Amino acid sequence: MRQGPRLRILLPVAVLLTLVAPLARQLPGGALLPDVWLVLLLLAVPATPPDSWRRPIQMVVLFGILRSCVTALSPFVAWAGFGAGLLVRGALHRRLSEYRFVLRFLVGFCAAIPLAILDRVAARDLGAQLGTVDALWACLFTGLLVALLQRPAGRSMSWHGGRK
Amino acid sequence: MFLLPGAERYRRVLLTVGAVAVVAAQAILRFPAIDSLTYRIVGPIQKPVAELAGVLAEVFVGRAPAADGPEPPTTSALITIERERGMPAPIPGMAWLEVPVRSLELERGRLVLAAGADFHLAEDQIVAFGDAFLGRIGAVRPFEADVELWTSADMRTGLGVMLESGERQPAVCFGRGSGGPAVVAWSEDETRFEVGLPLAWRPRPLDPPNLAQARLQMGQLQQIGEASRGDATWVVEQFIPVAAEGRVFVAAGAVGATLVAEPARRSSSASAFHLPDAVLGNDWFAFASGASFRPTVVVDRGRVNARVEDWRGAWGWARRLPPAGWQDHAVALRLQTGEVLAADAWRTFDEALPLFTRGGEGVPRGLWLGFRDDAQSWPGDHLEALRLDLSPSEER
Repeated sequence: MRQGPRLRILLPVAVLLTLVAPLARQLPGGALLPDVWLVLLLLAVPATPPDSWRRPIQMVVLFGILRSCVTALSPFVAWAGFGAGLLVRGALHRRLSEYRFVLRFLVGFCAAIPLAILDRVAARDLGAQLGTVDALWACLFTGLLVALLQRPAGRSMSWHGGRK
Repeated sequence: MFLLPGAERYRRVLLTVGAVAVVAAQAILRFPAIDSLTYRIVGPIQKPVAELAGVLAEVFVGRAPAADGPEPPTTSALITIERERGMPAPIPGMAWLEVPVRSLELERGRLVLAAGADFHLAEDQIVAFGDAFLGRIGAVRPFEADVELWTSADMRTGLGVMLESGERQPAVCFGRGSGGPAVVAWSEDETRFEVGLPLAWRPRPLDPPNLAQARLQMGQLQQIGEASRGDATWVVEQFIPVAAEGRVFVAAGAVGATLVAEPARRSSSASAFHLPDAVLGNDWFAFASGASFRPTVVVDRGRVNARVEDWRGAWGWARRLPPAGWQDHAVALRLQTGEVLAADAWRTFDEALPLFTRGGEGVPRGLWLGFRDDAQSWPGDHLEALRLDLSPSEER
């Protein structure tokens, strides 16, 4: 079973992305960018259910705290969005082949939807509004990044000498 | 590939779905105790990361120029006008106590005053603004008191209908709260009533006799229903001045050491991280303050810069709003006439009027917001986090 990258590698990457995310949000079209913590989470946690869920939970909590450092939205929004995203991906992954780009894209896109919805609801509670079109683009880009960066299990094994 | 038995997998999935649902419920409902506990745990980790991100943003993007302009006067023009307009005519042997309003519960026909037994207020005292009768003091607590408006449900108020002949005809009206205007339930002779007749407040028999000289008004007589079908009812057109949402005047025969009960504000210096929100965008910024209270607004050199939306102990997030963005939380002042306008009135005005905070929800009244068409400003170096002093019930 794949374990994904180690936490000591992920943590600095996540912190770095956290520091850069507000800058990226200020760029023209920054609202369309995908949620970097969600993308990182989807790439770091294997789609097949692991034996122990300790690591995915650790990463959900950690990434939620980091996201909440640079946004007024509560960490609970991030934790719920990330958790729901992983659940959606897990449910779809069992039914859809990960060897086809379009299907990987679809899984990534659907996994981004719960967080987008929760962000909108939480932002409305704070008196802010997040555009529907912006959220849609962000989900599309999340799907695209996941489809591009996530390697199908079999192929990754063959790159490592076909270990089973 | 090792697979867990189906039952174990479904148990896990159910547990995870339940956990996510609970966390999502907290994300949406935001129970303050849980939020507060969470920020107490994760706050010390988050603050340095946010500060570092702010430094990075400042290095790469630079600091946006703070709004410059004349510093607003220390005494709010709105409060000055409210004092001038709101003080009723003097009554021999009595004084008018000036009491600011802490919060509005207009749907329930109630104002909550920022003073109570500490300011020697007592039940049934008369409350007025200018020549308008507002109601009577209801429940009095140590540091706050309720004003039961004469429009509130089941409130019985005596009034005098000023007939065209100059005669004053006694009548009694009953408030209906949000159900509609107060109904004239009793009068000596309704046949002499006409639409638009002015109504004067009539004291109760046990009120101090001098109160009759206050000449307080209660609006005008109106009629609802169809007289030709015999279902017409005389009602009192509701009239509560907008400025009365800021401060009211209470008639008192005996007074304490002072006649003004200005509520205290809590303030603390603050500094912005110059960090835009990574999800919500540039209208938001993080700031730190040593405040031991939960601030409600961030003020920059006397002008409200942002409204605090999220407070995490020693730091929080505030939203920069243009003056017009305060909407129902702002009132405008027409300097020429001294008129105080609510949001639905100042929005339709051609002139860009000066706006002030309306007050309530911990925001002090009368803070300078700027002119209606001004843009939102960036935080400068002289930030102050403040709020209206907490009532004892809020502190608990």
